[in-house]
Amino acid sequence: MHQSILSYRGSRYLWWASSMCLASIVAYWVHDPMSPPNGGTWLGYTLGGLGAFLILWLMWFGIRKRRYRSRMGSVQGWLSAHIYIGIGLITVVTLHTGFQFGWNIHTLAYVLMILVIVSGMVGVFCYMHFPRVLTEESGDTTTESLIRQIREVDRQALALAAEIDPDTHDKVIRSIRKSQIGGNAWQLLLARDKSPPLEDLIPSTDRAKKKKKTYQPEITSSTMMFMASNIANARVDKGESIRKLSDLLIGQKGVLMRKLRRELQIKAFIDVWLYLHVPLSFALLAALIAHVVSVFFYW
Amino acid sequence: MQTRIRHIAHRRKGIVTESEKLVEKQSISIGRATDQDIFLPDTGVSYQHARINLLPDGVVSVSSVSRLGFYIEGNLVQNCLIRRRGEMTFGAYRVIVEINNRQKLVDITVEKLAEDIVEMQKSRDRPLGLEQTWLSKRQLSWLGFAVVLILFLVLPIAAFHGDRAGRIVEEFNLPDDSLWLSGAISSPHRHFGNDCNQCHQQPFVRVRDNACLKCHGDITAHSDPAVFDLPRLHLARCASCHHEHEGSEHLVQRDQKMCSDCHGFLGNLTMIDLNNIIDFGTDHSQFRVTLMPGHGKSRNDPQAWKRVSLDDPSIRHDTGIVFPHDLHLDRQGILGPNGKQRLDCDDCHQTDASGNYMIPITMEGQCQSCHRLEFDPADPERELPHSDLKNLRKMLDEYYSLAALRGGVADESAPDLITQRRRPGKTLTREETDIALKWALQKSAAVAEEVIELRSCNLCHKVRRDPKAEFGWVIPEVHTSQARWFPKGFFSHDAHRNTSCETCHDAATSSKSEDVLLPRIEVCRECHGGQDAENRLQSTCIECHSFHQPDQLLMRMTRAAKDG
Repeated sequence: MHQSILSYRGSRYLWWASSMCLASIVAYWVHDPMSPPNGGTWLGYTLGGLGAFLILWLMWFGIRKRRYRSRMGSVQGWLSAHIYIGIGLITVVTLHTGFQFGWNIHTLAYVLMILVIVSGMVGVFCYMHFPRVLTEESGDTTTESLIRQIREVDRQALALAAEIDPDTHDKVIRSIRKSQIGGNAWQLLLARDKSPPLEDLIPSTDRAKKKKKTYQPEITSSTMMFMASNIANARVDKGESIRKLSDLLIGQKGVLMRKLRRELQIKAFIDVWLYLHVPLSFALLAALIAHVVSVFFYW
Repeated sequence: MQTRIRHIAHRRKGIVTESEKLVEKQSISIGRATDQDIFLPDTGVSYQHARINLLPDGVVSVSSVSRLGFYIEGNLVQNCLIRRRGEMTFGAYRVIVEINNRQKLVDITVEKLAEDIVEMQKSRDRPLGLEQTWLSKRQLSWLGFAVVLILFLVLPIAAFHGDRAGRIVEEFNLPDDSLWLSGAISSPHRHFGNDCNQCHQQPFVRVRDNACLKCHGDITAHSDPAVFDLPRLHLARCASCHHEHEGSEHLVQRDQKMCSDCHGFLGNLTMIDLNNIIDFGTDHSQFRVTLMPGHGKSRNDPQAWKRVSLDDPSIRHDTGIVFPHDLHLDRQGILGPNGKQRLDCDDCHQTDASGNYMIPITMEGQCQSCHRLEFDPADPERELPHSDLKNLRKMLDEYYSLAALRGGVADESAPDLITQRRRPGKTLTREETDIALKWALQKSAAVAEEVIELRSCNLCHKVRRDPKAEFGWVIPEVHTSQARWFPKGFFSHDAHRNTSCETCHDAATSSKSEDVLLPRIEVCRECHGGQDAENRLQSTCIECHSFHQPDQLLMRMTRAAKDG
């Protein structure tokens, strides 16, 4: 039975984190230091120590989730705790600062921590939202099956084209060469590839309109133009083959490529926040070390 | 040049077959058509796809006949030149051209790589997920970790430890320990605030008192550690109370907890005459005045001074003089040399230059303008010296001797010799001089007695005739006022200048100089409350008291004892 990470065991860790925040707030409220509230009072050291421990513990999650044989709680439980305790950390550490901020290592550590937590919140949203979108849009098809289908369409098109004439064959081969599966980080995220339309083959009157239309790079416009003119000029006996070919390349392949690109995009969305969350966590770890060492270096 | 074309075919069950033929042509054709020299039966290849031309200087050129071109080293090209070896891809086939100039032979090896061109495309697939792209969490993490650690920890520490590193950091304006500054430096410390090591002298060691005492060498301690063995007090650091990096406001602690931490819970220390006090508004004890309750004691006798509570009904201060405030402050006026005049407090009581305390009252300063020490009605300008019986007597002797010698004294009881006017140039005989001197000394003694016992001195002083005394009288020591009635507290009259004197000092009804006219704590509490008072001026301990007691040892001495 699937259970959301947010409602894991009756949101047990939500209560833990809330209690921690509440205790911190009450302590801060009751605490009446002689200087303005800051990290150097006994409560300041307590909250700071708790915050530092929690940061290390939260980062330990990156190690724990790879330890498949660990029996220290389930990864699902750890993730649930990771999320709630991580968000609760904002309260603990903000109270540790005593609301004193400046252009220094101490505030840098705080800002990095906030960025890590915010990127983590984005991650929670991505993990909750995009898998559902993926299921809604793709159903049961997997990336592998989509790629297999695209290759099959390519083969059929190639076989058909070889029978028609060398020109068509040429075109189809070039179209196959150009249709790119996957892409670099930006192309994955934006669901684009770099195949440019061969505009010199498009009549100039159409060019302006073309730019405004939805960009469909998988079938280059030159291929479409070529197909269309072929159908018009074809001899009767080749007409059927050409129609089949255009149906394959313009119809089926187009749909499959769009699906594939969207699927890769959603998967990239699910992952991309981690490329902020993890490096920022390590920058935070360095800032935390610098913060703690500098405070006691100049005690 | 000869060309050797080898076909390698992978059959089922792992069997590999090779076929070889020698061609003498200078131009070799490649394509899907059966008439091609190199026949590639693959739908990814055109019927006439390309030609391999053997050029005279031992170089081979490959040019595409079809518009599809071919791949060489991963690049799609239409033409290429091969000098020694070239590896090309046509559809699903790999074609390797090797030129052996010594044997005058060009080797062409043809091998099928995949089922078809679609299969070949797989090798050109791009990343399907972010983890396969250039983005790397690990590299970014190391980068972020290293940059932050170097900029904010390594460089500042290097600058602290090494002169050379310090110079480099300074010269290139690299991040230094100023990035560690946790809050604004207080205004008094700003002039050296950019040099952290003035205070933070050793790494990982809390700021030592010596760093503070380097400048604040003359600051005094709170109490004598030899008398009060209070580890909590003497182990406290300067920085326990004086918090830096919190702006100027908190360099000196004003919070009453600072004091009440100890003074609210003195335990068995109460036997040393201290009360438990937490808050001025609610539990400060009645003020105790340092005064001399006994009669006729010397101010130099330490036993004469006592701290007496204003609640004590028998409280009195032995001023040694007679002075009724009520008479002097009579609203109808008091008779002075220029007739009746109304006196106000500040006609006599003036603050010192600081504005805090009243200047002690003196005869010359305040009283004598009315209480003139004249002694001869015929010569009202002439006054006797104050508080100097010896010179008083001498002056009277000299005054009347001169008068007797001059003659013409308006005194009916005097001999004629003294009262008669003398002609200029006339000198007295020896006998006449004796008579004049005798009269002068008698007159001087009589005037002295009259002035001291009846007319002037006895008005204020309790004069006692004593033949054994040096000049015949004893005048008690005067303790009219002192600068500090409350030496353990601080008070500023100037800060209260908008308040009338009567608000605190009930002088108008006081008829005796022994009356203590200092205000009781209740008077202060009409305006002042404790730190958390809601409807009073919030006043903490250090409004009136100082931690560093001026009569104590120097802090550097008590600290040295502690550190030693």
